[in-house]
Amino acid sequence: MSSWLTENESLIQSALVLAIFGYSLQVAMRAGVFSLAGAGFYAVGGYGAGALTLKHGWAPLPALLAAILAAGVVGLVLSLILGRLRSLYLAMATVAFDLLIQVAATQWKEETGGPLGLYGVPVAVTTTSLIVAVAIASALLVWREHGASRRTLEALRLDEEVAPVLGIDVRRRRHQAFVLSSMLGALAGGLNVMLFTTITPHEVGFNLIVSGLTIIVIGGISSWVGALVGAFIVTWLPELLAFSGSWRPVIQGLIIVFAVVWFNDGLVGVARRGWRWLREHRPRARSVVSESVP
Amino acid sequence: MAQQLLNAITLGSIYMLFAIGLSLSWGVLDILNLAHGAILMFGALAVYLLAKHIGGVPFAILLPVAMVLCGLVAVLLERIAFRPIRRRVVDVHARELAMLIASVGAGATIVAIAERSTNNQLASIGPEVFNVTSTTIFGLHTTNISLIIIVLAVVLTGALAAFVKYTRYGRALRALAVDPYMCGLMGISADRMTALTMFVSGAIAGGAGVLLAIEQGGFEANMGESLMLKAFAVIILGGVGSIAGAAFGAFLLAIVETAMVVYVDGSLQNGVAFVLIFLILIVRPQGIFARRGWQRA
Repeated sequence: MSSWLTENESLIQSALVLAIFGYSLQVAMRAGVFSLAGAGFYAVGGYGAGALTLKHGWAPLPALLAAILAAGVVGLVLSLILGRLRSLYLAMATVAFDLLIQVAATQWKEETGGPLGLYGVPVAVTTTSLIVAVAIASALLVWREHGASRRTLEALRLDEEVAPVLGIDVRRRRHQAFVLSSMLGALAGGLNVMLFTTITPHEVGFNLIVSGLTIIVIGGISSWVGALVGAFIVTWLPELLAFSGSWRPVIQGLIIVFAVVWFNDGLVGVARRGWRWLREHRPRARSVVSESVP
Repeated sequence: MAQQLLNAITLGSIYMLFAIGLSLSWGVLDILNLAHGAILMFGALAVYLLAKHIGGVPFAILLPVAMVLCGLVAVLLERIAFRPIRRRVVDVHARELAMLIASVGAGATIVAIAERSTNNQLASIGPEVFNVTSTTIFGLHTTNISLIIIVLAVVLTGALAAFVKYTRYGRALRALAVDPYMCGLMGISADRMTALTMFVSGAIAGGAGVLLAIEQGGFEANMGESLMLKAFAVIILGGVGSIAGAAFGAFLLAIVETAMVVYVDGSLQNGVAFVLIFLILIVRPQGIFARRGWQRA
């Protein structure tokens, strides 16, 4: 077991980073905010933390915190600007934001290293501190989805017109979700650059949106656990599909399509349905009674 | 000045061809098709592969063939992903999210196929397919491919606008944008109209991809990505589902971008689209030509 852990340490690290990134997208969507800005903020966090430590000599922790704070501020401004948008319009505007951040990362050469990206960022995150970060983020989500807060989020997601009638401040809640999503995205990006020492514009564009949505669709958005499960599967997918050789990226794309069409609520949803099915089918006596009724 | 304007018109024609399909599928079908960029690239890929494996086919045949192939890819996407989702997912928001994710997956698949067949490198459509020559028209320097782009953009857009406005199918399409359920009661096959919309949007994007690849001297598997941002700006400027709006937005964006490159700084070109999107969203979120739900498409 321990040898497996050391052999796969970098995969586990990527999976944990992706889990936080998955949380970032999920937090927004579970509050009914159809935002994909998490990918852009991942870049903000990664480039922010990377450039501050590499080019300005900051210590890792303040650099990470500054990047997260900056993402929070940008997130709030973006949320205020996009406040009126809903559904596809919001999705489109946030994808546009992600693409713009990628363009900025390519062209602002002094700070971002241009198309080659930043490399040689000092390693500052260990697996232990990464696990702590994931645990804190998960605890935050569990706390957020507990009791009244959970019901508030459900109301926001299911019916935004009913929510104000129930005394929910929709605008504030949506801004909150957006800012939290931005900060989680930046945390993921910052941790990633401090683990793997590099970040390139190629990593933070459309590809990142694809991985993020794969996490969401494979894990499911019905629970925060979905992002964690999804992140581990996405990370191990290349190994699991190693047999397919050069067709692997093609199959990965098809898996997304297949999963979203047939398992819309993800693995967590499938597990829940399976559990419910088991519970309903175990007691035999009840089925006999129901059969005797004409 | 006139020279720059001509360049801007060529660029705007590409934007227009690309954005129309995206706008149409959004306006009529409520699908934000993020695979649209990949379908554009697929047009270039189809011509590249056809020319490589079956030489000697004239461009006048290759272009329509590639367009039909791209249309079929879009229809395939509708059949294997969008239609099942439409049937299975009842909640509107969940359905939009599912379709968006499906289109992302499909786009990634198409890009992966392209990367595989071009070995991840810049592939060029050679002069044996289309020989780019420079010409002079009204004293302005241009290339034959630019002229073809402009003419095709005008013809295809005009034809599509006329089709939507004046034909029975076009009327059915507009009805579909308003109320798909009611369409069923009026004897309009929503499935068939949806497939038609996807075909047209895919075919036009594919044509744009072929022309763009020739104009730029080559294409990469992810050539569609950067165009998505431009198309978003075009759609927001012109209003979702509006063909005239898309034309207006495309040329406005191209002119502002060209002016930026000429008078300010070339590196700012890609930021223009984003600034325009945000300005419009703040000032006039319904687009410059305000349209209500029943006017979309």
